[in-house]
Amino acid sequence: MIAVLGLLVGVLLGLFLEPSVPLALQPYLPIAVVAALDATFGALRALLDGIFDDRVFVISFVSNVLVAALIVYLGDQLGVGSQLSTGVVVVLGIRIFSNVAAIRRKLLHA
Amino acid sequence: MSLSPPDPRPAPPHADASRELLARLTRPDDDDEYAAADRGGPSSRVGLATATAALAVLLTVAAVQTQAAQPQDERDREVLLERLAREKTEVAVLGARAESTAAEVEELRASTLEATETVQALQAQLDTQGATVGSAPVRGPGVRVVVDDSDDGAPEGTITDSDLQQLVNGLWKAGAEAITVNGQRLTTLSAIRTAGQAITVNYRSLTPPYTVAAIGDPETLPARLLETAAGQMFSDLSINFGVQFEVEAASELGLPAGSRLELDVATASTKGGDGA
Repeated sequence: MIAVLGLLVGVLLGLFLEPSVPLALQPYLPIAVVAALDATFGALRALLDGIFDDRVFVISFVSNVLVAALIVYLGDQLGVGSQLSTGVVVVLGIRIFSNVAAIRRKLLHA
Repeated sequence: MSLSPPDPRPAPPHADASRELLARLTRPDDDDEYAAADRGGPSSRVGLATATAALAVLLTVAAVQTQAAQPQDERDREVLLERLAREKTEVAVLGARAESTAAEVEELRASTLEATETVQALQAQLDTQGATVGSAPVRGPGVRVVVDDSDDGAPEGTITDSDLQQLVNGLWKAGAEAITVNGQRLTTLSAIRTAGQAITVNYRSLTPPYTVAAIGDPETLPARLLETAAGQMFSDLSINFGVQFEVEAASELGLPAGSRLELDVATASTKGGDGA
């Protein structure tokens, strides 16, 4: 319940405040989104497994986003930002796929 | 070593590192943070709400950002396409212009060549005519005739303008092609006459001795001069009155151009005159 409320508040905040992303933070937005998606699908799978824990979800969400952004920032400083972004997206993408596969197995038994 | 049963584990411990990584990535259970979590910890409802709100903000902002960037991208694309088309037509126009300019250059080159040839022909013609008329300096072999008054100053032994005229006429008759008297070139406008005590040629007063230089065949010119009436007259004057009269052949004479060759009244006409 509280989660759905938070979701709604977030969507409304994003829609009505229309925060413009500063140019310096532009490259981090897609990475953050992918990291957040990874945390979300992990949480969804845990929920279906019956082992969901909101503390773990919060920590994994925050740390995923922060670490992904940090890696990309480090890559930018080293001049390999785009390569590291690709690496982060690949790793998170594989995790998302395996989580979705687990969810699919749970829901459709296939 | 005896044969051992196959290892049931799919990845031996010394397996290729990258293959192990792939295997780990495709087995999500291995790093499932929920399975490994300490489930006894306190659950934070505020944290969950904040996290979901942050997630929602993140996704919304990303969606809005993408949506907002789309029309801009489209516009940019259209502007670029428009510019591309414009530049293409410009390139075509410039190409056509380059082609026509090249043709023009070729044409001008041909006409320049033609004009150069015309100018050269005209220059050659002008040189020839200038040499004939006396407006151009000429070089060539010829004779030098030196005449002077007699030493005693008698009137019979004094050279007059008509004497010089006869000498010049004799030289023309003998085949001279260009003549100077004391360096004054005889042109179509030259006159030899007396002004006061002195003989003038081209309105310049001359002082004796008079040197008449004539370009012509040095082999025949002196002999033919002596055969003319002028030659005979000067021979007589030389013998009877002590007038100095010397004719010598010159292998190389340089005669200057004549002065005062401007026409004030006459104009050039291509129509043949009837002499009237």
